[in-house]
Amino acid sequence: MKLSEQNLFLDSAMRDWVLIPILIVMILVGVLRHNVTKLIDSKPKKLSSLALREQRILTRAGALRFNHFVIPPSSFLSRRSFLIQKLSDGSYLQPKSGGGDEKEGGSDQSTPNPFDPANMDGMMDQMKKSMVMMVPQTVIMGWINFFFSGFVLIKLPFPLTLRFKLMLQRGIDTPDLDVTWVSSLSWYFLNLFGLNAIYRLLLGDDNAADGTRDMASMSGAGAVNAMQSAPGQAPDFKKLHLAERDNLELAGLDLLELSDNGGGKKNQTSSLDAKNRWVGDGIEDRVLALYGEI
Amino acid sequence: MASTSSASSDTDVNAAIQWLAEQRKRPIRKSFEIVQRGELVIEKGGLNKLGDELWSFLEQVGMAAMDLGKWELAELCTSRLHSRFPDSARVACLQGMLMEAHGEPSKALEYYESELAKDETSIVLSKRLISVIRSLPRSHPKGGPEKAIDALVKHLDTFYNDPEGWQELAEIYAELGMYNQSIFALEELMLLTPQNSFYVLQYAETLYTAGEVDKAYKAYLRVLEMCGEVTKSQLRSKSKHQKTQVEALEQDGPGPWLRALWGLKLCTTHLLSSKPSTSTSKEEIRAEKVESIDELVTKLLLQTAYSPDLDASTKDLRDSVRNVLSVSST
Repeated sequence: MKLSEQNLFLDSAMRDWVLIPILIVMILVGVLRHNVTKLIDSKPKKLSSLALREQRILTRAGALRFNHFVIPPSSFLSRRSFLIQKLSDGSYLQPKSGGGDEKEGGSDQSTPNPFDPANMDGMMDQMKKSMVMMVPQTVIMGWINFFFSGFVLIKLPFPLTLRFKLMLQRGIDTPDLDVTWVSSLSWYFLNLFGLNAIYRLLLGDDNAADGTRDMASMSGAGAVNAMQSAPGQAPDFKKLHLAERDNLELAGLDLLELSDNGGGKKNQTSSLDAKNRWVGDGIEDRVLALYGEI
Repeated sequence: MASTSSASSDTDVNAAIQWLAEQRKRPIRKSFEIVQRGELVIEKGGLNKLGDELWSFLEQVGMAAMDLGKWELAELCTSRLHSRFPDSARVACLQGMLMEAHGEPSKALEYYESELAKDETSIVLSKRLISVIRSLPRSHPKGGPEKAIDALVKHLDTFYNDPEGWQELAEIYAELGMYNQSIFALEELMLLTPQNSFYVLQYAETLYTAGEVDKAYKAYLRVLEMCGEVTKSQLRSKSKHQKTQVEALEQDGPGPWLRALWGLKLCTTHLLSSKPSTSTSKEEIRAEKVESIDELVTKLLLQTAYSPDLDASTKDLRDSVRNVLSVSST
């Protein structure tokens, strides 16, 4: 109990010249970072129309696969064969700028060149952003370390366990000091992690002022992200097209089996094309049932 | 007195801003009211109150001013937007529209083409370009519906998931009497937005016009199925509220229900009269089914025309019903 009774008398000048300045500087740096990030934020890169075309053919195949039941079977089958042909011969693929067509299927394609100019743009962007985050944090931390190391600034109004000592009393090497006393460097960290709500109040919801988010993306999560986004930036559309073609081919098969299970008796004599089910099959009965006629 | 008047003008401005914001979410084009209220906001210095909404406000008022031929206002809005967003395709569209509104479509066409060369993936610019091409007469070297079709096909090859583009393509084809191509475009439209019953109705009508009565029959039935539930509840609620049927259908009508009924009646009449030829070609449509559907449709149509709630002013409706139904009975 002796520890909790210890009294430290802090100079009020410390509050005026250390506690509040650190807080204000932190807030201002956050606002500054928000604006600088906005300034250097490059626009999302525009796709060329051929790249867009290459993606939209997949959308088209997907739409056909999901909603094919709304159009008559004959229309579906003609579209299906058209898309299967286009997807397999790659006529919707974006023409490659380099002469890399000869190395088809090689391991070369699975590992994109990390120094490809297209990818460098994204990397450069990330670098810039993390620089905007890193530089002010380093400067402020150096500033606090240089001028205010070893200051005790505030006392928390609630008791804490001993474990928090490491967190709250950074820069003070007094083992007997109560945990509720907070050092200047720790005050800095408290601000760093706790000012997010204030930034949101000042700058709106999607602000770039919060340093911790960048930090989180820098460590663990960032590494995973980078790993995923590097191949994700330039997905191999040739493979995607072939995969979509396989899906489309299966879409037809799926229907065949369905109609065999469901109305096998009715469709036995009809040709393969007519077996594809669509909304038109048995729609008379459904409409009649809707009006209570049968 | 002065304070009350300023307060009332303040509330006026606020109300106008609110009304305009609501209007922006609706597809209705009330150009006169928009310009009226927009001018009020500008005159009373309400632009500062708009904040981030200022830009969409300017776009809205600018477009409405073009409709009314208020060039000064339109140019004010456009130039302000242009100075703020010099690279925006949306603003470029506005400037092109201003040229179109001035009656200089060829100039606008060139402008759109030069803007598209800068940003080839801008879907809004591409659409504007197509609309200009369509509005130009055939005599123009770059204009006319055929050129518009070419441009649209190219547009849709790149921007596949643009329902408006497919709709436009279907419309142009139908205008030129190329119904099969129009049907193709409508099928794509249905693939993209399978839940819209109006597209299915258009599809059914185009099929019927093209002479594909079997498919049209199925498509009309599909429309009925898609708005079936609504119809039932509305028929019931109507008898309660003593509304006339026509009124109810016009006010909160169940989508394309009535139109589909008429179309379906035409189809069944056709199918029943030419039974032998169709039954051999397509075994899916069976005569007894068509007959029962025909009965149902006739009943529903008669209900629409001869409901006890109707007054005498619907004589025309009854006459037309009688005309159509008499064809089928003979």
